Amino acid sequence: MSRGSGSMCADVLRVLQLFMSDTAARLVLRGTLEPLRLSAETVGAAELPRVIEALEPATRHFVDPARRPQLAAQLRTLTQPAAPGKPLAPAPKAPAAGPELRATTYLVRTESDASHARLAARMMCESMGGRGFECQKVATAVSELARNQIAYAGGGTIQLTPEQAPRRLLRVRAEDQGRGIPDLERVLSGTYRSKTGMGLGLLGVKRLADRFDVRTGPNGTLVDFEVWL
Amino acid sequence: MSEDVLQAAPRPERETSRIPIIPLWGNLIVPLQGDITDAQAAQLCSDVLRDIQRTGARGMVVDISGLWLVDSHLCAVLARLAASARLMGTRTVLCGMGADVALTLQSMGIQLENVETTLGLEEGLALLGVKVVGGRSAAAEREAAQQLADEMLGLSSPTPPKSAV
Repeated sequence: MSRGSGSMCADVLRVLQLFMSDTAARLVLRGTLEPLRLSAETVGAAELPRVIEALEPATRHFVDPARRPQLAAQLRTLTQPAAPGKPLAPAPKAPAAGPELRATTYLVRTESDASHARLAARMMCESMGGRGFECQKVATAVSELARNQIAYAGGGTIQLTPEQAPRRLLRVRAEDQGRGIPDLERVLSGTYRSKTGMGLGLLGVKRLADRFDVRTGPNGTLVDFEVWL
Repeated sequence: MSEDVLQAAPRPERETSRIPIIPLWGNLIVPLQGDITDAQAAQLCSDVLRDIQRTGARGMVVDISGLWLVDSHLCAVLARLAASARLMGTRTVLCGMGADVALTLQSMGIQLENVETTLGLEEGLALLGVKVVGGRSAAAEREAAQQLADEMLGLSSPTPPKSAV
């Protein structure tokens, strides 16, 4: 199961493009191959370590120092032979998929908690293979729910649950012990306007959801939200 | 009394967390990046309005291409900022919204009706009446950069200067 040598260079180029502009990536790659007397077609698995070694100094001017280790690590993954039947493309996702794909609960008390929770939601969605819009929906919904918890309930918890079967989805459960939403129907009908926002927080979350459920009472509020991936 | 307290209080990290406001050709450019806290957003509003008064800026472009998340609260802040600037006679253009952010806001029913929007900073400045002289389009820039790269590697010969005719 060896990959075609032409695709080897394409893989390298794809990694480089994550860290610099297309032009810079092509420039760096060509400028690296030429002194090694290699061309895009002749680079195979045997030459790859040599190419990657030579890329290190060549990329120095284009990549922020903080991101260089990341680039080096991504390039190194190319030298590991792809397992039979496993294409290269999903490989970078696979290591991240392990530890993060567990249900996680975040305590939301302050704005920075909310910020942390929405970033975690986006990362979980991405590691599940969610597309940009889906991850954006999840992160935005978490942001709205966390904001409501802080503003109206003195905080709460947000639980993120990844599901693979029967359907791939990400479930968000936002729970608080506040005094509840006094006029839920009006909030969800869109006629409500909050003093600070647009009054679209919870309604917006409902509109983003593939499944949405809210239960509220004088002892707290529970919002269930699903985005199908 | 309260003034004394205010003056004595240290001003920690306020300067570093402050969002830059760039005056440019009679307009203001406000680039938003990363994760903006509510405190930063509130500070930004008062800073921008003060700068409008100070510089007499005719327009302002708020560039949100560096924001990864825009929720209803931030939209409300931006709408309020634009409305306040309008009251002062300054036109606000929002630019650089990413595709996923736009889709998400649209799904939520957030319109930002009273804020003008453009694709990018160039279009935003153009809308405010900034004219580019001798500039090139983005596609032409890309092509030129590509050509330069090829030339540097000796893959193509440089085009002869036109003045030789």
